[in-house]
Amino acid sequence: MINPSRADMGLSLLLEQTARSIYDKRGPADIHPGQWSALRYFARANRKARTVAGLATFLGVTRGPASRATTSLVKQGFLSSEVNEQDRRSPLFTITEKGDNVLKDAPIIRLASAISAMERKQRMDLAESLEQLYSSLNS
Amino acid sequence: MSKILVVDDDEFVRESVCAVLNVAGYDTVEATNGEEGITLIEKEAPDLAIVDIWMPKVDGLTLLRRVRAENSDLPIIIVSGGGPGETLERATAIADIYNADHVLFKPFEDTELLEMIEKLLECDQA
Repeated sequence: MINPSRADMGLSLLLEQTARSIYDKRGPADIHPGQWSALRYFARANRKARTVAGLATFLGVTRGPASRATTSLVKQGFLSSEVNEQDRRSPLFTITEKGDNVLKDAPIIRLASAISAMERKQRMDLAESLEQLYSSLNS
Repeated sequence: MSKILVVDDDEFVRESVCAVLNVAGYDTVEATNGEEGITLIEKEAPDLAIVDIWMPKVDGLTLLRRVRAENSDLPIIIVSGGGPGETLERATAIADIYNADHVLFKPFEDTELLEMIEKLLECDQA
């Protein structure tokens, strides 16, 4: 493995701190980052895909954690469930008005707003760099 | 009659989607992977493309990137399901970065697909 320079360590720490700071303030509700992902999924997925299995596929996790995240969001009133006529064992979930409102103040919005303020070229360079970093870390 | 390009390596999915589109009155062209899809976009000038996210050789996200790199505003619907490699959450984010017009999650209703197409073609013609 290459021995990283101090400058590269600094850059890595800056990236880590930036990512961590997104969820420093949890916003209007006590929602964990994984639950925010789940909520965003149910807000944008087409009706038939709004199931625990659909969420598990989206997040790349097994059904257990997807089911726990969904149950918690239902308990908090951010999602409602209904019987799936095509598969009665797999309910369909819909975002509630409360869920919709909380998403408007989601912590990720602060980051997206900061990115929106950047020049187009900066944004595209950032996208390219992040894709490259993610690939290196996960290859 | 609007022409729609369907890009999917799964023959069954391709034929099912094309059958739904044909019944709804759309003309269709088919490609089995992203590379073929890019060639048909240049050759057939479709009004809209429905592109599977995971395909061998050139995948849906690479097709999207290459089409947008040409400054094309062709309406593109990315169809996503479970696949190898990266998570769908990440793939969806990449599709958003490169301006996919819509990401449709599997499974979906025919009516959901048709409504989406109608909306996108209306916007494109406006």
